[in-house]
Amino acid sequence: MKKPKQRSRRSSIGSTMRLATKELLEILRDRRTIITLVMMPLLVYPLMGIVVQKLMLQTVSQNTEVVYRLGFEDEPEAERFGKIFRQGQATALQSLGGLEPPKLGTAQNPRFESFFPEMLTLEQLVRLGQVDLGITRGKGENVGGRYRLLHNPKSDFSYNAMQFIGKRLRLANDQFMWQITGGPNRKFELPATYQEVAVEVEAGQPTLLTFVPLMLVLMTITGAVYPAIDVTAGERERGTMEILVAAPVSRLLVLIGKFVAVFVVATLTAIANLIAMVVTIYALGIDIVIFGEAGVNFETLSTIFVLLIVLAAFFSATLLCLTSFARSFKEAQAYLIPLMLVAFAPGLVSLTPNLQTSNFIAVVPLVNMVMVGRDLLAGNPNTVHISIAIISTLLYGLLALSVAARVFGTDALLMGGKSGWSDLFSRQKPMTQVPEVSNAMFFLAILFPAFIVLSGLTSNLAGKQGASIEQRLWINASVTVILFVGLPWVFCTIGRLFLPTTFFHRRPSIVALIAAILLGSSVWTLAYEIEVFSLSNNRMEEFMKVFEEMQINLNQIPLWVKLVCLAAVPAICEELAFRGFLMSAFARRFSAPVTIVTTALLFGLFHIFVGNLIMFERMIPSTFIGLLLGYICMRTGSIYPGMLLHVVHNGLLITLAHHEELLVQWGVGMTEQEHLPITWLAAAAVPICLGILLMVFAGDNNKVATVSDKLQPHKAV
Amino acid sequence: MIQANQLCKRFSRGNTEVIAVDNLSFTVEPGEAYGLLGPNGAGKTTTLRMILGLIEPTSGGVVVDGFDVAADPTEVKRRIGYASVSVGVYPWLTAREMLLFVGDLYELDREYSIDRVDQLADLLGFRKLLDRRCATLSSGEKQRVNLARALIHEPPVMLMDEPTTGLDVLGSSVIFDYVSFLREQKKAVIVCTHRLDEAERICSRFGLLHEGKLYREGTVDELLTDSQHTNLTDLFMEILCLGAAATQSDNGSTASIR
Repeated sequence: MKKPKQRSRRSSIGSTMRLATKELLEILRDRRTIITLVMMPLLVYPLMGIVVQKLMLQTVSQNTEVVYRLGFEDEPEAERFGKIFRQGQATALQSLGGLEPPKLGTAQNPRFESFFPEMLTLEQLVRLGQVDLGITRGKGENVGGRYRLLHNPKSDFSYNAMQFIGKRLRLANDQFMWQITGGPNRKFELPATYQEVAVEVEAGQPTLLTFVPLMLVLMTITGAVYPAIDVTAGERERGTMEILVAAPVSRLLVLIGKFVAVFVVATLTAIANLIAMVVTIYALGIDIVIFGEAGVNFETLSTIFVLLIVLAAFFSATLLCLTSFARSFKEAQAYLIPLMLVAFAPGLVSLTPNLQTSNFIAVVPLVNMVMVGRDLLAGNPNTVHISIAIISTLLYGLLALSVAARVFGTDALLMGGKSGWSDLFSRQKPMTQVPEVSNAMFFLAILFPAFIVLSGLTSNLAGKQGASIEQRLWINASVTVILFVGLPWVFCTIGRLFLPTTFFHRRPSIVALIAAILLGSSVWTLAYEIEVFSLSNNRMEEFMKVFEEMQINLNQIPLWVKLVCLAAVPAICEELAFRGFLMSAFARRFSAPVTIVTTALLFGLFHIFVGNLIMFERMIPSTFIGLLLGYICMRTGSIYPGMLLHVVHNGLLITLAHHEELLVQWGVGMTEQEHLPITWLAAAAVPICLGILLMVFAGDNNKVATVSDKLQPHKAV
Repeated sequence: MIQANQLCKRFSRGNTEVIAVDNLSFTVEPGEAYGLLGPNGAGKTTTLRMILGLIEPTSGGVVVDGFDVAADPTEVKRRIGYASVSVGVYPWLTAREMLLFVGDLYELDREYSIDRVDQLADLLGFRKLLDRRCATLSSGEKQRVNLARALIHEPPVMLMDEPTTGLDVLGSSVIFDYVSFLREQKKAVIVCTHRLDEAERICSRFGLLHEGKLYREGTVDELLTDSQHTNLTDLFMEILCLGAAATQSDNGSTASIR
């Protein structure tokens, strides 16, 4: 017999794909999945569409009594207008030529109710929808008519009222002309000239528009539920879990394979639902009611599809996380029913009329996707909200996946012990050296929304309280300390993590510190050039405006305050969070290059938010600096050289900005985003090369190995 | 080939602690089939799962083919084939698809896997069933597929937990023959069972477990001589009586069963 031939190269991606393919094969062969995937959208949307259509028809038939609510300045004005209107109405009835007049209360012969403003103006009454038409007499020479008809252009009813009244006024004018002058004569002023005035109405969204993304979201979740249970609890119930855990494949890889399969099914469900919903809406002719006159275009639908994919990833991870705890189908269903109910609650919140998307809402799971989807359909997309919603949702998904990886296939679940949930939330008794990846994901899932919400909150509070720029700088510095130092510290305390190993607290060599100073003082030139290269002309202008504004605001602040608040505090705090807490967690499971790249990308991600703007271009230079800082930390096994580099780097940029006038004299304007003079770049190349060389020599491979050794799981100190 | 050193496993169930395996040590050499015998709850399956690295021992350790289970779990899993009556099959996959998938899990070359599946199907007598979905197989047929699943990567060590449960005489005979074949191939085999007839037929040495402890160990002759019984069944009954006596004693009774 031939010896078993193993593949020469073990590719994680290949293994994951093979696992995912097997899961997909199983899921898609199961008729229950096909029913959810294909039959549900095919049945649900047409049925719902017909219900909406019927309801609309019912509403129309119930409202046969057409009553227009007219608003007047006062009662005498209403009486005066009434006389003119009745003339027009009489003419209209005469034109019927002896036929029976239309029934009162119909569109052809509506009823009227008069209203007079007490506290509000007529315009406000129209805006609030308390009257359908505001009728006021125009004042001054420039008025286009004797009457001004104030209407809500976004309300068909208001518009119809205006059309009806306008027609009667025109008839009254005709009557006047023929009776008084015997024909058109411009010498006489007509009694009922009018001007149509559209009242500006805030973009209140129709409820049905919010219902579309909510429905899509809920159906996408439904599509992922059965596969998630089947690949976790189902596997355990069938006894096939042991095949997987007995094989030489990591549990994380198995779980990722399962995640990919569930995610694919959820995405297919999302596509099927999106297509079915749009086709139904257009086929039943209810598109104008739901999407408005403008309708939806392919671009909007594509963006909604992207949002649904992100949501599918989040829910696939969340469902896998929950079902990983379950030992049977029944138990998994018991876990998921509350989740579905919980998912409904924020979804219903998003139906609240006039609820506007904000940075805060953009970090609330589920609600963010529904709200951002609604804004997209309404034609008011906001890039910042969309970005925040996508990033936060992906982070929540990663958290769910890392929690699932922690419990999936553990012996407690495999053997039917009573642990599981309790194990996850129980406080670890022995102290551990470094955090787990799930801790890091938990930290990120809290840090990101907290960062967005707190930044906005402090900015608004400072603005309302009239805080000075300097006070705002101190507030922002405090928030940075709370988020990037306080939060990791809380995690360390709860998780009983050993602080020196978690934060790479280790005395660095003098050579490493010198290298850090050299790099810190020179590497900004590279980062600066990368940033300039990555910015398009339009974005550069936008960028310049922001920085010019910041520059004006910061000019009066003493340099030392700026150095503390904008250079030292962010540098130290970010190093503790990114190169300390996160890096030690990732190094526990991943190789050094993967750890450095992951941490650097996260570091870059947190730097794309500038005030209320989102600048993706900043990701590139920030990630570059993150890569360098990560390498230094791994190389030296100490957080301090990177911290020093970061402080020097930030400090130098702040100092250069503070002395910008001097720089302009030298021909280098920071806010003009010009390339640095070649001599500067050449001069910077020397300390950069020297710094890297020194860092390579300063790092001791044995020391790095020692750090890696320490990162073994569950080793008590 | 397999060295279990002072293995202990304790489970906590609520406020009480259950000792599943207590200070268990034994060795299995290449070409040897070791029978782990004991009544239900003696700790046989837990021991197998600790050898495979599915459960972390509370203390002690296992070395398989020179690899420590705690330090190199992946290398250990690569060297073990695990067949258990509790292991199921994928209902929506055909037997062939399932076996090829397992080959992928063990990172086997695809061509080798395809040949190996045919070979095992011939050997275990389910060639005709290869392209049928597992859901449509009988329990005996599923058992054969599962045995092929455990053997696909030609492991030097086989762990078999109740391997003949659900099999007819012919099926059981196939298993017995295959274990003999494995022994000839110098593979180490551990068979957990409470069926003494089959244990006697396929195992060269035995470990008798009682409440997680190794009660007796040796060949059939050694066991019978030491215990002064004439057959393994009597020895097994002795263990069962020990369990009953312990239960009686726990209940405060001094009555002896024997």
